[in-house]
Amino acid sequence: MDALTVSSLNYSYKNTENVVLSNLNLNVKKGEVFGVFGPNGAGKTTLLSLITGILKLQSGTISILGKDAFTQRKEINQLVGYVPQDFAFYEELSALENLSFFGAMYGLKGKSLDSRSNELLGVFGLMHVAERQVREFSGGMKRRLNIAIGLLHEPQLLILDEPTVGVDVQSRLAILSYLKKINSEGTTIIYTSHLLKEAEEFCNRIALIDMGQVVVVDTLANLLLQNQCKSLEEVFIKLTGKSYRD
Amino acid sequence: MSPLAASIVKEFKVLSRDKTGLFLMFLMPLALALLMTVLQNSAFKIVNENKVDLMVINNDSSSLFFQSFSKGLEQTGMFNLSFNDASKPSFKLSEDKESIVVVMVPNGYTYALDQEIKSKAEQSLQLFGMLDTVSTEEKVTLKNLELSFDPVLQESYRYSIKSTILSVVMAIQNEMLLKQLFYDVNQSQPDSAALEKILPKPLLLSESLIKENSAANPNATQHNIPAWTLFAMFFTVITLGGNIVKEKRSGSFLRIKTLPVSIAQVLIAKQVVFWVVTVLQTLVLFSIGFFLFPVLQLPPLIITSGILPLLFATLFCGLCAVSYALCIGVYSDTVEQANGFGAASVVILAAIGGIFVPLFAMPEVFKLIANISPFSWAMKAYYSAILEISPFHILLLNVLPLLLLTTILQLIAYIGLKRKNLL
Repeated sequence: MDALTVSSLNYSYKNTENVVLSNLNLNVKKGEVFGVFGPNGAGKTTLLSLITGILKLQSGTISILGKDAFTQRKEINQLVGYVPQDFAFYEELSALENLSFFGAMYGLKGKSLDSRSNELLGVFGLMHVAERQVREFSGGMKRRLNIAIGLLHEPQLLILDEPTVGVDVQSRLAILSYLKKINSEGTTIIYTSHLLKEAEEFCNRIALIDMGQVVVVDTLANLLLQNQCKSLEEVFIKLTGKSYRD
Repeated sequence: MSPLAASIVKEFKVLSRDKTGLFLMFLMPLALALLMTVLQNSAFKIVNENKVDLMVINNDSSSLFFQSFSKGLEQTGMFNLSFNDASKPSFKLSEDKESIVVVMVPNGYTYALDQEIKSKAEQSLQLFGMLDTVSTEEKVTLKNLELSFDPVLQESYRYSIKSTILSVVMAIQNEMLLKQLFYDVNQSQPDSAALEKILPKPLLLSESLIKENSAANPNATQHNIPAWTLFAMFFTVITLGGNIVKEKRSGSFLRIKTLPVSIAQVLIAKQVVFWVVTVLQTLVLFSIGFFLFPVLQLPPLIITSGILPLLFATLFCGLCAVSYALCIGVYSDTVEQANGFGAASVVILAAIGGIFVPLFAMPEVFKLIANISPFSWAMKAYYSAILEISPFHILLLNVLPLLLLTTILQLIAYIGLKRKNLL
């Protein structure tokens, strides 16, 4: 069973004639770290929004961990963790209070919630500021908390939208190290970023999306070989061009 | 903890750390209620409670009339009396800054009045057949009492003062006439027992209200406490509206959409918390009306109907205010929009709805316009809970427009959430 299967996906926003996604097909195997890359406006965020249920399907199908995204959204949301690019938490609350709130939303309770919160605070180096209001945090601390919230319920599929943007090297290494660890324990990861160097060392397979369609899906090694390039950035430019897309 | 309970706890924590929001929701209306009650109470007192400063100047060589007149004026309870002697060289009327009414007793008034009364007594006795001839002495002309008013006094108020003074003079005349008649018949002055028998007792009026069980118009406290409570309730638009916009913009709403709970639970939690806030606002503002205002010499807050009708009105008013804030929050794209439109609309609706100036004191046209403001509906609900002992169905009728508006606002908010892909 695949972690994610996207078939014949089409999407366009209201009041615009532009088709954002056009007959898009994709599948992500269980246990993979799957990178989704593309220029600005390629349709990555729309694709992630459809997968996570933020946007409603217009046509096509999405199956996540064997469940239909249209009819079994609640069950899917229990199995999927989503880490948006924005800091989607409450700055007036402390890190621990944020984790307690989102944990309760995932149905976690009592000691299991407390121990999981403390574990993640420790992993992401936030234990010493657990009781402090998040508004006082640095950008890196906020980014780590943002990821910790998505991991609270130990999801089988983790979707990360640019998880390391704007953080220092230390934070980035800590984040990637933990993500590699949970991936090795079985968590499937779908990841988007503009940091292609990071993607080279992190992803098992890579999908390049442009103009609402999948341009190519393959391993990094195959992409470099087939396109006779030395880096993912070269492949990216070769397949999507140099012109602005937004 | 269930998702709903966790959301409620989260909202309470967020709110408790919002110092500006708490100031706007509690301290500002409290200060406004206090200030406006003091101001309106002063204005109210000038018209209804304060005595008129009246100076009596005695220009008469005898002080007999002056003494009876002063005593009679004092007994009316309408005047703060001061006296002056015009014969003193230091006297200058223009220097009197306090009095708004001055009565001058002209020289020779006591004598002239006495002659007038004696003549009337003789004529009366002749008419009764008890006297054959009346005195043919030339009468002394009775001069008028001279009355001067401050030009700021309104005509109706002047008329009421003139009537009171005339009634005092007439009472003196009647007493003098009866005494004179007694003397002419008995050749002796009546003693106090006899005087009590022949003098008519002052007529008294029984007062009652046209509407049974109603307490007429509210006093300054009875108006301002519910008025500013309502203002405070609707001003939660700044806090709740801004709170919703912030969540929409921060992405936490979208994140919640990816969780195995409905975003409706989070919105319900927000409304529950702010609904509780509106009840707390009522508790705080009504408490200062009960306990603080009497200490500050302001009219105490008297609730005729009891606590339950008051709570009933509060719950419906609060729910309507929270629904309004929800609507503003859902449709605003920025916190500035929510705050700007929210505050401006609340101030305008409050002004129209009789919060700043009570409806009963407004011109008829404005009373009609007031009907479009939910503040006026809410004030009716509060007045019916505070001023009258209303049956339950009357209370229900008074809150019905608020309930309808609440339903409409919730529906509008639901449509907005759907259109913005948040539900």
